[in-house]
Amino acid sequence: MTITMIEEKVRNAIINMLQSRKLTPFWVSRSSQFLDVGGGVFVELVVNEGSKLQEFEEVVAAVKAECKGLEIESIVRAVWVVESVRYIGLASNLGLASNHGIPLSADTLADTFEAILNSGSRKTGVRIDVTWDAFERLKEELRRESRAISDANLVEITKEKVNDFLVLQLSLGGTSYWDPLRYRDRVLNGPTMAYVALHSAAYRQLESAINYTLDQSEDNVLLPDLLRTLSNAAVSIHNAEDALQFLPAEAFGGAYMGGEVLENASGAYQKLSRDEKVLIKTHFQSRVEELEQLQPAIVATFPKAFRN
Amino acid sequence: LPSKHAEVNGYFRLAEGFMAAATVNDHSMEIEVRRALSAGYYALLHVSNAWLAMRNVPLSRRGHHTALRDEIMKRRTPEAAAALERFFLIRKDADYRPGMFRSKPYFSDIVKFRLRAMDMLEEMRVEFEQYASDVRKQLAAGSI
Repeated sequence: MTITMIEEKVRNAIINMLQSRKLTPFWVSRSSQFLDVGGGVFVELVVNEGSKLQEFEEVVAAVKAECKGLEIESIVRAVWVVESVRYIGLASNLGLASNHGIPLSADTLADTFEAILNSGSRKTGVRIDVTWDAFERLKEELRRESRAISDANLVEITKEKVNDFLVLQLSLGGTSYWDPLRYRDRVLNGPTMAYVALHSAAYRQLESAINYTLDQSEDNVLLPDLLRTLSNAAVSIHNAEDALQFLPAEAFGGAYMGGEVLENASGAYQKLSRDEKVLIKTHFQSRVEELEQLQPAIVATFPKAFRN
Repeated sequence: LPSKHAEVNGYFRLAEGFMAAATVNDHSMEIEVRRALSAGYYALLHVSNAWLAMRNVPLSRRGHHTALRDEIMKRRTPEAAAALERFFLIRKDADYRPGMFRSKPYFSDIVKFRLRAMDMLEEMRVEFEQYASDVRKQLAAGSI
């Protein structure tokens, strides 16, 4: 990875200011980015304490003013986790229909859930409208799994799915992040429920950890970490079940996982159903094949990890 | 030079047109999602431009993405300016960065890309309405 002079200049200016304002303990450095984007710098600062967001924004504003003439594009975001989810009742505005002036239907009628998110000491409430269409999709999924459906357990299972939906939303970083302080209302509709209900939260976390670890971006430090560890342990990357256990812990926390509940690959893998275990191994193997095809230099650098 | 009414109306018409085009459905493919995100940003750019024109901000101070954001920061809030910057970056990713879909955070998962894009478009609409309601009111009252 090559760090350009302007990247270095902006990085140093920001780090110095974070240090002087005693903000470094709240900075998630490994999830933050400083990228030269051709004449300018893109900065993503990730914060583990929501009450410090404004102070971080002030640091970026001050550095922008200090580096006049240099284009600095920035995102400052907090890491949020889901603390609780509760059922409220039928959406007070009869769902989404009144917002958009469209006829009432299963796509637009909704029930409301409320979730509390926290980022360090800061908490915020968000509202999630689950459309009736989403409930139907969930019931279909439960019937497919031959699970019993009653009014009471449907609410409980939906709360779990709302939690998984929020974890998914909060797991995205970069320009795709969700700011729950500014956009408090979410809709969990039929297609989203189908996506969320397809796999368990543990599967999604493991899938995401695999994707981030095997990402071929130049600035991905997780990949050499994994390959070095596999080489030292004499485990081949082609032995998916064993290799999965060596996914770096960093891939399971911070900005990679918004609402992290699992700390490592072993914990996540144990929570998978038998079918999901097969699926996740297939996913891992296909990402490894892609890596071998497109990154021969990495394969040559870590021959032990790639031996058959 | 166009009258103030014609200018505000012109940008607002563009803004509404772009917003109407900024849609993603359950079958949208990568390029359609990218195009919608880009249109959503331009809707926001034009509506905020109309809003600033309504307040007699000269074109030189709103004719460029960065200058326009600076004016929004002064005349609305730093949060509104930060939201504009974020959507500008999303639009840059959507228009120019091939890795936006193939690399983090979507890793070629088209369903995840679509679903998050739908939410981002909804977030853009939330911002859009904050300007649009003012502009609509003034245009309807004939006070421009």
